[in-house]
Amino acid sequence: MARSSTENMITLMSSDGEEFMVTEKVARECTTIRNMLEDDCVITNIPLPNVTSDILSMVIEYCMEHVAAAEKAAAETAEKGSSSAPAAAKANKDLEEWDKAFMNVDVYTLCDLILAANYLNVSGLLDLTIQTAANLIKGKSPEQIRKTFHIQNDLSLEEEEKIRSQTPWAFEKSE
Amino acid sequence: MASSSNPHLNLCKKCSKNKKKYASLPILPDDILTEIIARLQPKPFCRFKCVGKSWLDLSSQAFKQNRFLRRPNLYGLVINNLVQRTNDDINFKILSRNKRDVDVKLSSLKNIGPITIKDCCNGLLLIQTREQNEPQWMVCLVVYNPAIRKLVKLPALRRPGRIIHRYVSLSYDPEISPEFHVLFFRTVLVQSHWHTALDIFSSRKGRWEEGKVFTDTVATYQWNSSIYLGGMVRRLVKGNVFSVNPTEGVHKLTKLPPLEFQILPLSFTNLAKSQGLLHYILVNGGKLLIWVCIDFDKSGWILKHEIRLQETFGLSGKEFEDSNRRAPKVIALHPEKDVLFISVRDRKLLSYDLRTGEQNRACTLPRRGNLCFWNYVPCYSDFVFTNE
Repeated sequence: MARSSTENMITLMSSDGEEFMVTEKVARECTTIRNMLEDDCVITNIPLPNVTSDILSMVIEYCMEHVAAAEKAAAETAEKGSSSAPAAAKANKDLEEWDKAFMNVDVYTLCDLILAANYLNVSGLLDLTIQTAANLIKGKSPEQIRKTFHIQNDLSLEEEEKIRSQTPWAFEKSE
Repeated sequence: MASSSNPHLNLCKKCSKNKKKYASLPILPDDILTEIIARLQPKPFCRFKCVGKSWLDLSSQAFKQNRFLRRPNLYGLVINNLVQRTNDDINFKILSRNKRDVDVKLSSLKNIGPITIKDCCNGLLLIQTREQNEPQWMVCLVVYNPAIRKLVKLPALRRPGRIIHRYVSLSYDPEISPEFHVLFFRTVLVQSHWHTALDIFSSRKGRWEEGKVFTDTVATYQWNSSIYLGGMVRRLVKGNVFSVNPTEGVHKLTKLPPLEFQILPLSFTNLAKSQGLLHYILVNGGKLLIWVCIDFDKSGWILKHEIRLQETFGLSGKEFEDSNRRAPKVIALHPEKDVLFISVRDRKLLSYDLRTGEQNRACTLPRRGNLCFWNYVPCYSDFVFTNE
């Protein structure tokens, strides 16, 4: 672990003033921050006025886990000369499991995470959160979706009936 | 979680899951919401539309991005047995591992008597029916989309005359237009010569335009598929590919590749569309030959594959050359990949990777008969239809 002490440290500041110290490598997982670092290489303190400390800590947790997984895979490749396919597959599966557990959050947190991943441009996290949101919608009726996402139904009865009649098969209860 | 071994963890305070109370849900920007909706399968996608106005407004953009709706994969083969004509002979053979919500049993057609599938084009089926009390010569056609379960009945063709041979083709491409055309080819006697006449139905106009006669072509083979490609319906005729534009009725002929041998009269020949190109398939002398057309105007063909049936599939080749109709005969190309589907012994349908030579069992075919078959790719777009 001696390696980490020689790495550049970056301080990220959340909207509510909390500071998070992370390695440059972790910070670079956020494309937005990477661009800032590339524009100005002496920058060490980055304020993120759009992200609260709760959400920022989760984004950092995600980035750290993924950086660590990538490092582990690279180390194994270097050790053995080439990566063995079953080991790589297992590592991938472990990371997927980790992602799945990480996504066990309420819908509010999920939306905040989507916004943060979008703002910080963490492509992996954005993809994961958007897919999670899509999975939330999947098996639900329009009424349940409205409830989950706290949406007001602003369609008139006629409008709704028209949409339903266009694709009646989608509203049949099957499976 | 494996976080304890994470070297970066000690640099950050232990992350706590969110416990803050929210007054309302954070508002997601339209492009994100669109992306979420674009990942839904067809059924939930249609359901989400009546959640609210803001979501409905995003649906057309989301439709364009939705890979399930916009670029669906090959789902299976539509197979129609020409020998018998009852509902049981209509078969969908599902090849995809992912089950989709498609009316493969054609349940919407249950009440309309015996049916025969005549063509399948980009997710639409063209089906011939015969209702009770209707005269024999009356041609009743319906068009059905089994993905969105939309069924329309075409007006009857009023002037049957004495039809010797007839065959119908369907042309539809939702990427280009929501309109479909049905082409009705028939053989007519004009001044003691046999010619092909063509009537075209436009779903936008809702009526048939009758009577174009082509004096330079002879009857096409009845059992071959027609292929809709590049805005033209393509069919095999003797020695040529016959192409006709369904909107204007303009046609042309493309000579088939020259051969050094005589084709046996009952050899398997067919056209297929794969990777956006027209392919010509021929079984002759124990070999399966596949050409691709690179130039319709100059009759440019390239021989792409030459497969020895005995060595590759253990087939003598006779299966596709003689008049034995007891075994199902299918040779089809995957619409997107270099993959061939071929029927072998015991009604097995194999998928054969033309690049690697890998073989896999795809499905079991219907018991017997002379089969017509088409690739089926579900289509979730709506088509236009004017009922006059």
